[in-house]
Amino acid sequence: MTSPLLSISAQEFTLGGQEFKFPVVDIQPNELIGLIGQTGSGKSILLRQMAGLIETNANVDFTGKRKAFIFARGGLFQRQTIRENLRLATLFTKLSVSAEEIDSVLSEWKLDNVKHKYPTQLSPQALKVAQIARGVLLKPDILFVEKPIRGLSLEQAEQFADWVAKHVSEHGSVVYSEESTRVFHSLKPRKIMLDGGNNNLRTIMHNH
Amino acid sequence: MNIMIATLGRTLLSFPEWLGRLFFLLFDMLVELFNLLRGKYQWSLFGILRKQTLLQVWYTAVQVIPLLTLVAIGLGGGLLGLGFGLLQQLGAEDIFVPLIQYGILGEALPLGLTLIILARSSTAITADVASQVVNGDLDIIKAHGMSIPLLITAPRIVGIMISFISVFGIFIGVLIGSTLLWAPIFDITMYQLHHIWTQSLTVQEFEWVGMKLIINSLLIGSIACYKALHIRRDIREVPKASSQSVILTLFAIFLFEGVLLFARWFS
Repeated sequence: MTSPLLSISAQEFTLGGQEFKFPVVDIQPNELIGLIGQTGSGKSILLRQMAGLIETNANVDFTGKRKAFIFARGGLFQRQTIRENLRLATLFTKLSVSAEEIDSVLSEWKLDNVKHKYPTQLSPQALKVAQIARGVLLKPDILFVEKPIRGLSLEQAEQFADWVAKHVSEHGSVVYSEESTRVFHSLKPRKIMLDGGNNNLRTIMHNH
Repeated sequence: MNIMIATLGRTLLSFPEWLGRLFFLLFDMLVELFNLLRGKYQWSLFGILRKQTLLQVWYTAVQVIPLLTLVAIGLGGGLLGLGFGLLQQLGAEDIFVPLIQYGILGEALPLGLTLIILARSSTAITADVASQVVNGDLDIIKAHGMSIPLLITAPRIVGIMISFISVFGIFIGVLIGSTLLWAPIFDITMYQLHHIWTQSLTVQEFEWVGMKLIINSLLIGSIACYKALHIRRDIREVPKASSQSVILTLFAIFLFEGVLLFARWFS
């Protein structure tokens, strides 16, 4: 087995008056992982910890170069247009992304008409797609996704699932948090079930 | 009474800690600017930083110019009419130059400009950054490996610093220009005016003023950013952070004024 792309140590902590207890979680390269659990089970917290957004006593060891995050809501700088949002994210990487490439990705995700608009002018659906486009453009070693298909049309959800399948097989890992086990089920993710009842985490391994 | 003493004591004891926090905020900013220069990030980022810095300069310096121009013109008239005129009547016009040099240019002007810019920009910067925190911009930055010092801190602090220097230059220019207009009204000859300004505007004084302006701009910018970056993600925290930022900055500026005054005149 190769060394994990991301590893988060075992931890016990209290957040917002709720106790959480998570064991070690390792994410291997080119792996699709679903953090599955009911509301309040801590899946979003675990996802955000992995992405470095919430600091607790856990050690997060990320050996990759780039990461990206698709938030359930918002997720874009409101003072910049959709196109500027995508471009800004690439400037902090070593990726050489041309203007044509940005436009091509925007076009691929049918955001041509809104690329010069600000996030406040767009629907939540368009914002989610714009975040996906940013993730596509960044070619991250690991992509974190909160509620991957929520708010997307069927066509957009299929397009995203196709991209996730391709990304996992060719480039990097994807970790998502979701309440339903059916999301991305056809892609055979490794599911980490979070039990909201006693806050203990158990893992169910699905073979690829 | 005991509670008041305890509160005062806690405030005084927390001051070194605050200085440390501000130091690290500025240190992080300098490290990230250095990283940008040595190519850790893409050069195109400079364009975005420049745009944001100029925006800060626009809000802090350019929009305040009409107010400062009026103040400078009024001050020019007051200095010549009341100051020089009165001293001349008393036969003490010789002390007018040191009065201008040390009192006005060296001390009153930097402090006055600082208070004007503080009133305009400290709350604005705090509210601006705090609203970004509430909107989740910091999460976007962290999640994509972007830099908080480069996107949030640097444009504001550098912008404030540029604003201070440029506003001071404009103010001095308008002040001198206004005295040219006021001089005939108060029967002051061009020779006297020339003498006043050439004797008052020394390199040493500009160095002193420059140092004070840089320190004040760093204080305003860094305290505003720090207070805003450390609020809870709750919109009700924004006004609280804004007022705290102004009070803390005022305290810090007067403290540093005192320290610098002591260092200059009593050391």
